[in-house]
Amino acid sequence: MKTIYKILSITIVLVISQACSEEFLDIKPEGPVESDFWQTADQADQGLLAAYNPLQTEATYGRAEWFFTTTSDDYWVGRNKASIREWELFNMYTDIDYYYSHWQDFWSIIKRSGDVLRNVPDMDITDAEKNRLTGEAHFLTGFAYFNLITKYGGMPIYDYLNAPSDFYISRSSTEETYAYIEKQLLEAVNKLQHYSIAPKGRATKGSALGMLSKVLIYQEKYEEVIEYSDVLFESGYYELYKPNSDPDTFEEGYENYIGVFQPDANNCSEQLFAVQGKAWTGTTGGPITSIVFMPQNANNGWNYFHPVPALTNSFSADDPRKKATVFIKGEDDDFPYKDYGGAGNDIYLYTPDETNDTDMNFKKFAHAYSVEGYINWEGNNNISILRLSDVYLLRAEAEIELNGDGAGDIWINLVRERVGLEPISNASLVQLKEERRWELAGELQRYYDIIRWDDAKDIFHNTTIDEDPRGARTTFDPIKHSVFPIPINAINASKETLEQNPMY
Amino acid sequence: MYKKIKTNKIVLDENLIFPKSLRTMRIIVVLLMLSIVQLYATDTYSQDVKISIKLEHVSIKKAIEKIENLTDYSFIYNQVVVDNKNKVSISVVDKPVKIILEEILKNTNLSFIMVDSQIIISSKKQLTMVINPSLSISGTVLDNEGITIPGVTIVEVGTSNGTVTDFDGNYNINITNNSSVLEFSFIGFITKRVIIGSQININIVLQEDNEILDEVIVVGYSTIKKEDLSGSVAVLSAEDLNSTPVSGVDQALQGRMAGVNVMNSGGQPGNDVEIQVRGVGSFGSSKPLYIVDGFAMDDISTINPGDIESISVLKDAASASIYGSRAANGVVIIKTKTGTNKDSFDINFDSYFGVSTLSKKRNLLNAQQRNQVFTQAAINDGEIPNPYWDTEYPQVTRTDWQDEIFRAASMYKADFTLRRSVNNSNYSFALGYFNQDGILIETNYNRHNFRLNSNHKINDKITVGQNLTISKDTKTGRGENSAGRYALWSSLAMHPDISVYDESGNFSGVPVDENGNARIDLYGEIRNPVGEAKRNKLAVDRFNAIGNVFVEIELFKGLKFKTDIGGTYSGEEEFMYFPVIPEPGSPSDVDEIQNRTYTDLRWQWSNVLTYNLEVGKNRIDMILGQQSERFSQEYTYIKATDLAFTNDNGGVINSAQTIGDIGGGVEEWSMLSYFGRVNYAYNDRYLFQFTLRADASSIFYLNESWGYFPSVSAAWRVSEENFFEPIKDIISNLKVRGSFGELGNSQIGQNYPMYAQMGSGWGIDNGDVTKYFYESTVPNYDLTWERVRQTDIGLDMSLFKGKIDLTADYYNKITDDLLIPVELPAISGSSEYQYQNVGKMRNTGFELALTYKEIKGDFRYSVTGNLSVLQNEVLSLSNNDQALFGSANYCRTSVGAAMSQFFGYNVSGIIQNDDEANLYNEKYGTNAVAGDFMFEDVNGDNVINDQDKIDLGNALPDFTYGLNINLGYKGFDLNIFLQGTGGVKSVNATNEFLMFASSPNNKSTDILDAWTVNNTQTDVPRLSLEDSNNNARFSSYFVEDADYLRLRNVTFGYTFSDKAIESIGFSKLRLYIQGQNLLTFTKYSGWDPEIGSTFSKNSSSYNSLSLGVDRGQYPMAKSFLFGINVGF
Repeated sequence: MKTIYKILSITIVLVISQACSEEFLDIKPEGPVESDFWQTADQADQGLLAAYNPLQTEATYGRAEWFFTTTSDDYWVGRNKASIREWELFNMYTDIDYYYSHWQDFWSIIKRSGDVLRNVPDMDITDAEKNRLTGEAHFLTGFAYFNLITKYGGMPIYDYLNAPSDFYISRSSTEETYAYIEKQLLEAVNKLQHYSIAPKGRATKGSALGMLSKVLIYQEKYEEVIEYSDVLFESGYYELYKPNSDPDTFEEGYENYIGVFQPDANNCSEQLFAVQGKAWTGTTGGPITSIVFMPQNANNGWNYFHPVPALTNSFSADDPRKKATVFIKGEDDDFPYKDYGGAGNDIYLYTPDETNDTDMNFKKFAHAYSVEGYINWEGNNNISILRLSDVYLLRAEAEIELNGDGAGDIWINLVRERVGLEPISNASLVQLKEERRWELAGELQRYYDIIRWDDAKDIFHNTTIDEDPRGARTTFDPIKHSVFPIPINAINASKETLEQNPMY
Repeated sequence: MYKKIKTNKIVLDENLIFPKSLRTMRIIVVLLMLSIVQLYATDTYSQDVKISIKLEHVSIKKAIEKIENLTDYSFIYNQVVVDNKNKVSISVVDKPVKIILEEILKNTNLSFIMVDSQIIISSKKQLTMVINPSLSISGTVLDNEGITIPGVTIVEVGTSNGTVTDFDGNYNINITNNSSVLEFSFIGFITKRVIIGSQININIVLQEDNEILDEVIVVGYSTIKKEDLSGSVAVLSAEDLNSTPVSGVDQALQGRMAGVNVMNSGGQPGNDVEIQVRGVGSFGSSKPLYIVDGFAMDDISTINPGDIESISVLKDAASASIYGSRAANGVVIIKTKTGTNKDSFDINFDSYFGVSTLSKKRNLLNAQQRNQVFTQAAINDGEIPNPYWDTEYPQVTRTDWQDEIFRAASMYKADFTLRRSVNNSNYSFALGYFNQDGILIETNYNRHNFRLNSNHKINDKITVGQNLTISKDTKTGRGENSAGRYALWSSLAMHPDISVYDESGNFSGVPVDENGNARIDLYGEIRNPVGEAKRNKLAVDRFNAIGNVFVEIELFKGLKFKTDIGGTYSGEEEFMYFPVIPEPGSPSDVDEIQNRTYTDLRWQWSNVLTYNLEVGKNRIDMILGQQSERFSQEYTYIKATDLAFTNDNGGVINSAQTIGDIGGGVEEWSMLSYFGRVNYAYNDRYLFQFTLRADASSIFYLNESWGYFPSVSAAWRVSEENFFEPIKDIISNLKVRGSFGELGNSQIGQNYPMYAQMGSGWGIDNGDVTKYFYESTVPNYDLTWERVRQTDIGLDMSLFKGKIDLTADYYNKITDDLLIPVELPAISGSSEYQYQNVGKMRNTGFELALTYKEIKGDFRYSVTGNLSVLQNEVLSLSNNDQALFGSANYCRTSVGAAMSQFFGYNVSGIIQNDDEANLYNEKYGTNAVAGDFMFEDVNGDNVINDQDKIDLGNALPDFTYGLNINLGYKGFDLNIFLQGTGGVKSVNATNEFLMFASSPNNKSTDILDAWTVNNTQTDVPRLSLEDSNNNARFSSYFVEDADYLRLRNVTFGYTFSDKAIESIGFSKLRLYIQGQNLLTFTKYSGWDPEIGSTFSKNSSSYNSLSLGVDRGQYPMAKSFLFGINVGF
């Protein structure tokens, strides 16, 4: 019996000792939790990089931004992708996965920027570091809201200074949202450094000024566009990418322009803000934009977003930007494509895929492969979101709007000079719009431009089948389609505090 | 379907329902036992036990009972003692029992002898009879049906003298003393002791031991007799498991139990199988809790079915609530084989060898048919057909890809078991090996098992024991069914004019044009299926160990304490290699390795008191326990690319030239529990059970961490009532049962819901790859267990003396606080859903199990059938009952319907002519032509858009059934097992690319029936490359009836008679042949109608929200086996 009691008493003591222990149930994650983070400047920067990262996904500048804008008169999806085919005919589904992911990605930018803005001011780091970190976060917040407002209209505004606990708030008006965006970008202007002082690849004072100019022109605040673009231009930090400083041949102009989209121009001062590209290193991450634009015949490109004749026919014959922008079957078929078909074989003959109805592909983004060779999904090139030439043209537009034809010539000609084109004089708004189309073809500006210019109905309702395989798109309703429908999942997740846009 | 579990049983159980053959087989075992009888029968109980006792004027009988209570002696006495009118008084302190007894009996005509721990009291006259040193006693031993029993052990108690009955049940034994007691024992019968007295010829009738044959069912933390059960428990015994050799335990359960449904996720050997008890009760894991030898396990696929003694499935709340917060999906208790209690020494060897083949091929186009289809499709679109289809190369069919990737695959199993009992210790030792090639080339599964269980009786009060099970298994080959990837998908999509290898012996790819460009537009981005199978590598290696030690102490009569401590270790390593793919089609320039390792450690300590009390007609069994458990998992992940060196298995990670990605972490949780159960039986006919468990988990916030899970059940054994007596010949047993209780489910897939955790990723910063961190989760302090309230009403009935057994149950199970991954507004920044307790779901079902068995002379048969009817309904969901969508949006779960409904457009027919087409186009603004689908405008808004998608049925069966037929004649046995489902729909998603010419891959021959003006009576739309009407969108066209009836198993065996095998030293020899999945009756067009959930289990999305979507999943094989069971 003694053994029994020994075993029993030991057991009882052990049972009681552990049963009383609250510690037994107190298990914390071993990995980082929010309360352990935000201690060092490096951590704060890693938190900030998280806000940049959504720009690099498939649902944003990897490809979905172009899906949205297949509605434009410059390109269409060009592949049998049913939901997008319907989309570009303005029969818009609200359940397209990419668009919901895009929505989430952009709100992630806002949320993660907000985390930086909330945590960084109390950290034990230098004021310079604080300014840079919060300045970039302000820029990203403003930029993300701007991306959303151009697609959807006014957005809910969250208080980033307090950890958001109430996620269910309704939309602000377009005016309130624009005011909020301006406020964020102005904060960024105040806190950020100019190009060459600021870290490469990050938002600079120039990014903020350029973005602010664009935000202002969307509100037709032309004086302010002039005011802020002046600060940008006069800072002396920013210039167009021009390997041939004074191009006087077609080839030199071509090189100047195509160069902007090649890895060599990554984070040059013209790229006021760009999605960061990188060469394939085996690590995932980085935009896949290049492979998305590659023709399928060229070693399995994804063959999306085919230019339509309306775009390619609009270029003047001597404009090298046409050659740099598109491949056209039968014209200039050489695509210097590194090691294509074996080492040392650097020429690929452009042949559109059988299913390509326009026999054209965009070259701009795909062209990075001519330098790097096809390695994987990722090209080494940055994808520009805001270029200096874009701001030059915004400035020109503001000048013409305020001061009439010819007032914008100087800015338009800066853009033309780079590609070796003759200067123009007494340029009208119509000419400005064309210049903008050529300079920024395929760069996600055209659709939003024609919407804000109120030109869209005219264009879509009067397009012929020769200009665009889709022909006249009379389903376009300028009132309804001035914004896209908010993804249904976003509305559901908001417990319907988020109101759908009218008529959707 | 209750099955018997016999305790105190040695091996060779398969034929227990055929007692005669069993007996003969046992002879050998008994003979072996005899060799150690000597050890067993020696006097081991001290005769010097001293007690203190004070009695005044009590009857002799009372005095004896008193001594019996105070000691471990048991008394044997007859009527003379009871009749004795003497009253005795005694008062002694610390005296030996012998002295006390002498004192008590001194003035009576009674005398006693002490034999071992037994004391036999008889009249003095009897015990002083003449001693004849060569007294020979003989007789016959019969069972209660008058059949002789060979092999009965007969021992002269207190001596080493013994014998066994011969084949005719006769015995002869020489004894020394006619006051001796003879003990007749035989397994399965009540041991009988006889005082010899004056008898010379003693014929004995042994009664079947109901205590043993009574089915003792393993329930949580203890066992219970079947007749005392008031809840709903299904049991599968070793004999059931052995009758159908399967590679894993989970498969053995399929179709065998009412209410237990097994959903296969593909037939690749080693694949996980999902077991569901009473339906899908959760959107998360619906896996039941697996308890193996008392320890919770996440996965039972590594267990050797041959090691299992019994599986109990606790189905209703009353039975399962002893496991509280983890029992919501039912509990599966697995007990591995232990040593026997009787002295024995058995060795068994079971083995089989078999071959598996594909049971059904898809009919695909040959090259010329393919050319016709694509040519006609272009013509239908008004285009000029591609002249390529008229050229030379595509005219020739070179390959049947299904023939290339499927094979006749072998499998082999060998199990070796040794069970031994020596003195007060018993051991069970087993080794197992299983190896199965998959019917898809390069797939294989093999498993090694080792088990050692032992029990040791230290003394009459203390038992110690241990269990140790170790397994190592490896699954290789990529049998996944990912679209665009791997052999299975590619074998359907790859064109028939492509040869497997090119002239230089490399894998062929898609043909190229004159410029060297792959003809992807005509052939698709498809990889060589054989290349996919051979070059892609996948190996999952697992090592598992479960071990525990326990001590059980009897504190005093009826009260036992058991402390049990142990742990499980499981290590898993997953290796993947993705090759360079040089050939055109879907090439890949860089190869890649991925390695994942998981190391799980779990320890558990339980302390349980059990108390049994019998007072008059009242019987109480109680348990009271405490348990603590802690789990931790470490995992690492590494991805690396561009290998400098490769080998046949892919390569090793340190030959990679670039690190792609690394990850890893630790997951931990702990749980503290208290539980108790009271079973009360009055007069063996009114049964009650009360259970309460309290669990506290580290996962939940403090206020929510304790959960209480009570249950109650009651049963009435109507057949025990006096009024029932007249019809007892017809209805021998009738029990009605009812139960109600609450259960919890804490399998929420995350361990730290109340912490805002930092997620991380890799991003690009100025051309460099950098790591970033972000708040990935939003804390939820309100999170708590899912709660299941379940009501069960049941009936157990036996008719015609047990020839027919019937069990029926109706249940209603409501899951409340259902954890739903709620999508937070994107501003929350949470990249994942947040789990909230917001849903509600009901499962209502009816279960029936019916057994009929009969033995007529040498012929015996039994038929067991089970039927489960189940209805699932979602009652509420999150965010204003917003529907949930499964992966790839095939399925939607919404309120008011069963979960996981296929969700798409409804095809109302095919447009038959231009007039119909014009009407349709005018109305809906579409581009349809004759031969296209008409999609139904469900909401009548004259637009066909996503608002017109509707529920199109679901993959949850309305009913499942199994039918098991056993026939036996002498040594022959035949088992036929059928299993089926009804009311099941499946989506044949492979038809999305096999039935439409718009995708450039090979097609099903069914496409030849496509609509044309001359072939209008068809449901296949016209051929079109453009598919301007988007006929290929997900619609009712893909939803098929997937009911099936499957002949799962036919076994024909022969057991050799003992006479035939004893000369070669065997105690048992059975040979059998078996066919598995020989026939399947189904209308389903895919490879296999058994689909289950086919989407990745590792994804954070809930795979139970996408059931029954067939994307070309690994089909179940048809197998033939030859097997042997040998006992030594």
